[in-house]
Amino acid sequence: MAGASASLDSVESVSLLDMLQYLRQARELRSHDSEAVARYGSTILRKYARKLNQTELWLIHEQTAQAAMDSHNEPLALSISQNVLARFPKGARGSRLAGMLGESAGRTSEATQLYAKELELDPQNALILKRSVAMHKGQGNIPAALAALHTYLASNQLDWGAWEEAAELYIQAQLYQQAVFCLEEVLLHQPIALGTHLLLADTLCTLGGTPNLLTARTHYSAVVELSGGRSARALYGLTYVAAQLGADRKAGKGGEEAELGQVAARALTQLYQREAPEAEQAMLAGMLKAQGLAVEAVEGNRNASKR
Amino acid sequence: MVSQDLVLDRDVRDWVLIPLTVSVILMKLLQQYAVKLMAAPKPSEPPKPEDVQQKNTLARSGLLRANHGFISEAGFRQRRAYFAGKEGVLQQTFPAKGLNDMMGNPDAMQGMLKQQMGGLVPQMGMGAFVNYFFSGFILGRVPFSLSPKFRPMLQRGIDLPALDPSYFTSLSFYIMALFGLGGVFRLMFAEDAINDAAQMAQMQMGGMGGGGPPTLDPAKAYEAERQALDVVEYRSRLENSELRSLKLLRAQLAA
Repeated sequence: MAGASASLDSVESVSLLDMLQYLRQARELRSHDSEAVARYGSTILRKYARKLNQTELWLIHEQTAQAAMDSHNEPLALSISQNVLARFPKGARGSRLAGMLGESAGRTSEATQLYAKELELDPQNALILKRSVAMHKGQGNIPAALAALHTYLASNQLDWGAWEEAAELYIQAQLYQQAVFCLEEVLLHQPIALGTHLLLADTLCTLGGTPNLLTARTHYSAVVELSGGRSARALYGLTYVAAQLGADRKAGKGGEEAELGQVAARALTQLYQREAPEAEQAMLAGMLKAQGLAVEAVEGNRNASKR
Repeated sequence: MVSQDLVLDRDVRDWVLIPLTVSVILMKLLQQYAVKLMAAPKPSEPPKPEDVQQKNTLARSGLLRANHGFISEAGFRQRRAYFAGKEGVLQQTFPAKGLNDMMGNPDAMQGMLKQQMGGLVPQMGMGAFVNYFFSGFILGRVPFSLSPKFRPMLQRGIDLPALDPSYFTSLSFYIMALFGLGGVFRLMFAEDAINDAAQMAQMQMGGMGGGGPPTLDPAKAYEAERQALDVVEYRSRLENSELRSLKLLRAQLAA
């Protein structure tokens, strides 16, 4: 942080090429170092606007305006957006910028109108659809966000990021069945994304019911397998599933898999002994005990300390 | 064989050779920029939403075939029903393709025609121009003797059987300059040279493919995808992950 602010203070001494390079990379990597972007971008626009070619000039306008909004530099965002709108009075990207400006100032109805107008021109416009999803989500209007996301997904079925977003929104709306569908869709695109496996398993556990719990157990064990047993969340998941299945006696039995909960509990205890402070170890022991998995785990614990 | 050399007027050099060469170069230049101008807006044509939709559907169904092992069986069945079930997306029928579609996009055809005309018209105009102003001059002589067979090539526009075939006329010089200066032009416009051969090939390709990327026949592609999806048998890739992870955890605990 200190380094970053130092480089910000000495912005006058940074060469144009370096700044351009930085902004390009920030665009490419979608970095969120908004303050630096706003600082460099505004310097470039103030001093060197004539030296840039048109494409890059307007890209930097857009980038800087967004960064300025992000870092609450409203005057800068406003002046740049006005420049952009003066140059491109029509067009989705201009409207998006104006809409974002409205959103950041809290005038959401204005932004909604702008987006609606653009969507009337082109109902499939990906930029505007994504923007309106974000806006509705920001306002907490989950159904509206989901509706916009549906329209977007209808024409962009291959955007797994959007499926992930849909899953998140469905989870927020507590529509877990739909969330499961979206997460499975993400898994089709990204079959070994551990986070997605975990989220899917968590969602299935939330749904409850023996078949769902068994599927969740499969996903948790896949994560254990893929992470080499280092994923605490998956181990927690396994203990939870075991506890739930144990409560549901008749499905709980069944071969070696039934021991998975116990083993996971022991692995978790071992992991905590290695990496976590005492207090958390006690907490874990308490939790495992409540789940009915504690006995053997604690014994294992003692054995380990004796050795 | 050469009894006496012809003496050519200096004005022939000043008023024929130089203007002719300059006008050929200028025309090539003009053509270069005209082609650039006409070719430029071509790629900005956005793909049709239905096409994108169809491609996406196919890709998604392909993904389902490839990675279905990572999701639950219920999820797989649900998706297969969506794609290949009785009312599935892939059962969708398409209206028979009309003649227009078979010929490719009419706009593309027109664009191609325009491009071809763009190359042809100046050439024809230039030919008429040269024929009108510069015909009937002897411009020079190649520094070696040639057999009379070369006469139609080198002495276009002059019908003098007695003339030594190593003299060439303005019209022949024009034709040779037109087709023979490619290398020189490549030097002049370093990177984006006029490459007649490549351009020609591109045009041919454009004609075959109906312009732009090859369009897929959705009916056939859907049919094939549906059949492929029908024969997929669900097999979970996470099938024994419980046992495997159990083994792994035990090994870690024992270690």
